[in-house]
Amino acid sequence: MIRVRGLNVDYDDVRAVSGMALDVPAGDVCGLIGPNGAGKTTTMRAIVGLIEPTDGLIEVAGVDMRERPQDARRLVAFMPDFAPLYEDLKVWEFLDLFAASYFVPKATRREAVDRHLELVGLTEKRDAMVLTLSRGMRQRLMLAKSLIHGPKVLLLDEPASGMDPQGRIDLKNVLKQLGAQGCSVLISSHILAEMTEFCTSIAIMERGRLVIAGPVESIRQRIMGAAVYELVTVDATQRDQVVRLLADDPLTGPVEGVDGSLAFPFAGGPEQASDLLAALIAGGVRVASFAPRREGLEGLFLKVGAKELS
Amino acid sequence: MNGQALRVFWDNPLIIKHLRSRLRPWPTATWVVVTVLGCMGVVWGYQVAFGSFGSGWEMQLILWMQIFLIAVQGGYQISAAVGGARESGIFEYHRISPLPPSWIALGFLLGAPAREWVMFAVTVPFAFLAASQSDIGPLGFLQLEVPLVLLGVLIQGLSLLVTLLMRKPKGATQGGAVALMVFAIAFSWPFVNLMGMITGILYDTEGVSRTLPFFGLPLHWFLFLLLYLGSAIGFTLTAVIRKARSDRAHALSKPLAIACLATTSALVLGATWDVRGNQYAVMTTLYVVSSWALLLVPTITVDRAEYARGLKRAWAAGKRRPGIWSNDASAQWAIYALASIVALACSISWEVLLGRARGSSSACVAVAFFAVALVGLGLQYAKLRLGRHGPTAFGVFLFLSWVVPLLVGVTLLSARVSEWVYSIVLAASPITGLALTCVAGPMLLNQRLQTIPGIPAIEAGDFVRLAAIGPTLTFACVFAFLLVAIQRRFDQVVRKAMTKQEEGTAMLATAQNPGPFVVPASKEQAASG
Repeated sequence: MIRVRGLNVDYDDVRAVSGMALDVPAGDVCGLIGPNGAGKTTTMRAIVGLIEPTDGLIEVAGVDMRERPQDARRLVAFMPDFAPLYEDLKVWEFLDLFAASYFVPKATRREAVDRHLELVGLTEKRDAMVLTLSRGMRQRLMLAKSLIHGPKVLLLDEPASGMDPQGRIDLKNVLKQLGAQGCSVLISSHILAEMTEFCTSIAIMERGRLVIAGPVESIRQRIMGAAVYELVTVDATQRDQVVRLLADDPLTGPVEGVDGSLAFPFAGGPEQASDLLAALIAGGVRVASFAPRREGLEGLFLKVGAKELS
Repeated sequence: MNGQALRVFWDNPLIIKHLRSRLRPWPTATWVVVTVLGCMGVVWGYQVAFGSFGSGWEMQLILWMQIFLIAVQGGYQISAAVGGARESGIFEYHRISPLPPSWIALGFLLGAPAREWVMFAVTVPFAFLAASQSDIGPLGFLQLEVPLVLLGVLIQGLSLLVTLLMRKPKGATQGGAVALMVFAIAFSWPFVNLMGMITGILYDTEGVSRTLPFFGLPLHWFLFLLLYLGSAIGFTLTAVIRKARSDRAHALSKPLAIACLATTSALVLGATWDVRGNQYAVMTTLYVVSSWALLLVPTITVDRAEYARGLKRAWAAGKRRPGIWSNDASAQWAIYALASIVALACSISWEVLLGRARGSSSACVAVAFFAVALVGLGLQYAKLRLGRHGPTAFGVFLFLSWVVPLLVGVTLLSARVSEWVYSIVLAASPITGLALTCVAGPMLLNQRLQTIPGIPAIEAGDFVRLAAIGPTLTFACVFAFLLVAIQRRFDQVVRKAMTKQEEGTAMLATAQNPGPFVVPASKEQAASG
């Protein structure tokens, strides 16, 4: 897991990260979101040890980054938005270099290289020079490099930039797989719609501070308040009848929408929702669909107040 | 050194990486053939065309070729490899890997010039042939090649260090290469001459000793070279390893900088110990030791962020300030230590070499001490007071106080004004003030100014010494006072900021604490409506 407490990072006269406190448990895929300059990349770079923080505690998989950096580094992997590679190496040589750098045993190194090339779909490019790879392929190679030593903690900064649709799908699957294997993943991206699909928790940053953090559902409930339910009736003329019935329920809010497609906040849980549906049907409403609206990360992000999403 | 420690050489991933990329068969074979042809050309040229193979000149040519390969070409390759890795960002991935910094440093140092070392190896049989055919002989060949390899490693190490020190990696590649070329050219010619001197010492049968004096003691020339080159390589590699660990790390810690200056001073004193009665030897010691101290000063002064970080960490540990040798502490005391070493080394040199010889003056020792203190304290003050603009502003100050008097003095000299006038102006700049108080002042003023009516010679000499010490002493004291003041002010500002931050963090923690779920107000309004 990742554990950050009281993290402060200063650049000359500027405080880039201030009082950051964050937990990413094992198996959690946490999306770190915020406007440009919020301190996301600085936070990630501090966690992996690329920047020396002014003060604060950083632990990865229970190892203190400041006290035992060499041990901690064996457990962490970092993948940036723009993949720097050695262009004068072959693809397998590049992976072998980093496998050796992370002290993957010599006997299993070749097998590890081949397995990770297959994982990211680059087996056919095994003997190609890195120079000849497209940007998307470079990102895949960087992902393979990041995973080759079996990290317990993975940090990704805009990992999908430059990837083709298939690459993005593969990335999502890999992240889900890593989460299932107990790896803590912290991912920063501006493509919030994609993050919605695999993030189990989020952390929103603004001006160097962590505004809010926690499981997606919990954050959704805290930020958005009551869940918004969507109701579609078979007969559009029943709108007034629906509004009247909903007004009788103390847990529902003002109804919006036209014709047969309506939306309203509902403060109750699934049990109360089921009762409400039964009451509507009993009241003669012909219900075509009745379900809570799933609020994406964009909605949460905008609701929190971060304005400058690029 | 056990087998595990030796893995840094034979199982170093970065060395293996460079061996793979730089020793691909076709390019390597091409360059090996070119080198072989070059060496064969030298041998053939002297043996067939001039009929003088074995004269020693062909050995010198091959030595030049070897220096070019390992110092210029090898150094350039290191600079390009590290500059490129820093520019692309991949160097940082080595830093965050579990590879120790020493492995990273040695990986680039030994790996990047792999092809150049192969080409060097190709020249060795030709050098051996040339040496064995001449008076140098097989043993002399070995005694030439080993120091040459050490010098090559030193230049490559310096190239690596320069590239790691440059702020902008792209510029680092170019800047490192330019610095390297200048350095290699500057050092290779004396080196070849030194080789000639050494072979002369070894094979001259007219009673010349095979030893070189070190603090008056005869030291075998080979050990002498190892002592000097070994020390230089040791400190260079230490700095490289520190920079390989972190981009923001200082090349040398404060204790290391002091140790480096002390070692340099000892080596300079050891080499000049027997040159008695020679003011130029004292002057050389003065300039070498002072210049080295001035070069070390920027490596230990801290910027605002580092100083603030040090203060915060110290307070978190219940201390008022970090320890004086801490990397994040003000360099104030370390600068006094550097200046003291300069003063000590110069005093020893002056006392041993000149004693109380007529006309000599120890004012040069004071000038050297205050010059180092001025630069160190001034730079530290400027960095704390003006942030990132500090070094530039201090550079302007040094230009005005050190370079402008020099220019004015040279102008007065060319305008043929009175000797003591331009001497006083020139002495105001420590660049020339050191020489004037050490050599030129006593020589010129004590002899010639006796003809100036109304001004006794000894007083004219004192004017020059006063002009040399006065401004340097004044500025050093002013900066010492200002530095203490800015440190106090900084302490207060950072302490206030820390207090505010703690309050802010407490407020943020309260704000983040989720409260009970509340039905939105709009629902109540709707119900009432």
